[in-house]
Parts: sequence; C-alpha cells; structure tokens
Amino acid sequence: MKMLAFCVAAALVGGCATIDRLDGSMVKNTEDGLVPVEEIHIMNTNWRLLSCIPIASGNPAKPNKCSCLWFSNSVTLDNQIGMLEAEVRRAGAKKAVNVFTDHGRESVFFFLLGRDKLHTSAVLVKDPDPAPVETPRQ
Amino acid sequence: MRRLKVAACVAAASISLAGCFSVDVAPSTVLGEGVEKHITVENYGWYLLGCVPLVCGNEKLDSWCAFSIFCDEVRPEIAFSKMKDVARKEGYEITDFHVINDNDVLQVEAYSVTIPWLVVRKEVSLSANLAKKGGLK
Repeated sequence: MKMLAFCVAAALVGGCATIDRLDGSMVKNTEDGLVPVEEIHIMNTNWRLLSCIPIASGNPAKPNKCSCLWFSNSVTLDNQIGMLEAEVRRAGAKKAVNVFTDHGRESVFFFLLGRDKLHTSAVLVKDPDPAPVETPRQ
Repeated sequence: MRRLKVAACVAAASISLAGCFSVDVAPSTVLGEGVEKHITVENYGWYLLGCVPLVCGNEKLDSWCAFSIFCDEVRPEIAFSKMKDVARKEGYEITDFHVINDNDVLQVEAYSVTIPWLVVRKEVSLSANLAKKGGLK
C-alpha cells in the first residue's frame, strides 16, 4: 500500500514533456508558397519546492513517454527549441513558422509547490511538391 | 523559535509569490533563412484589487533585487522595450512577434468568506524571432 501511495505521489509530482501534432492540411498557411506539414504543440512542465528547488521536470529527450528528470529543471527555452528542431527533422520539413512560446506559472498549497509550464507552438512547412510534367499528346 | 518559523514562512512566501522578470534567448537553425534566435520576455506581479501594484519582477535585470515593490511594471510596452534592447545590442531585428497578457484571481478567504478580486496576478509574456539585420528573406 505504501509503495502504491509512493508511486501515485511520484506520478503526480513528476514533470511531463509532451508533443501534440495536428494534421497540416487543416492549417491555412501559404507563406512563400510553402506547404504546411504539421502544426505542433510542445509542452514541458516541472514542479519546484518553494518556487526555487526543482523536484522533477519532463524529459525533453523522451517526449510523450512516462519519463521525467528528478531534481533538475529541464523547462528551458533551449530544450523547447531543441525539441522543435527534432520535430522539424522528423517531419522532413524545411522550417518552422509562426513559432510562439508562452511561459505559465502556478502555485499549489499557496506557496509550497510551484509549477512551471513552457508551451511552444509552430507550423512546420515544406517546399511544394513539383508539379507533374505533362507529356505532350501526339 | 516560533519567530524564526514565522520569518522562514514569510521569506519563503515572499520568494515564491513575488514577481519575476525573465529574458530567455535560444539559438535555432529551423526558424527560416536569416532567423537565428527565438526570444521570450516575461514578467508577472501581484496587484491589489487588480489595479494597485504590490510586487512584480524588476525590469532592471542587473539590479541586486529581483523584485519591484509598488511599481506597475507588468506591462507589454516595458517587456517589448527590453526585447528591443536585446535585439539592438546583438544587431538583430524582431520578427514573428506575439503577446499574451493574462490575469488570474487569487481566492482569498477570511472567516470562510471568499473575497474575489482582492489580489490579482498579472502576467505579460512576449515571444518573437530574432533575424540578422538585412538577412531576412
């Protein structure tokens, strides 16, 4: 029973790094004639004791996995951009446009626990596919 | 001993609840031609009744104190001027600029009565890309 309580507590205070991907065909972005591949939302969270001592944070190397980093703070802009670059490579996109980062904070138990949230959204775009060459009719 | 505990609690609450002004810059190669960095500027603070500033992050980043008391510094124009300073200093121009201006109400309870809007937490968050001057295509 104690083990179960410990596991539940660890899961609750653990951070989480997630990447949500939306189909690019729903995105209206025709900048420079580039084709949207995906819209992505990258989120990383952590927990801090008294707002300054890191307890746990999401693992940017393993997003969407049950993995967190204990006693370290991985909720940084560098890690967000690193995850974005990995997504651009994975999707075979040319670049990321409309990149936007938002930093949120909240407190639990008044001031005992603090939680940071870093959210980055972007649209991954690629060059348009070359038009099929029509063979002249004879 | 009791005074020490109270002082520790007050100090912890002050550190936890006081505002924070932060500027973060991260280099990237996937933001397009000519665009070299992504920047975020954020500040938050606490206001009495949503209008009287109590404490917020200090816009003077090199100051010995991270907080500003009774100063209204949670404003987009102050955060944007800080972003412009960083861009000018490093020879960049600002592109893809976004702003979030947010308010949260702290639910204060006195004798089992909740007093809404007594203390409001304001937050301003700016995000942009930095491109080398003349390098944007």
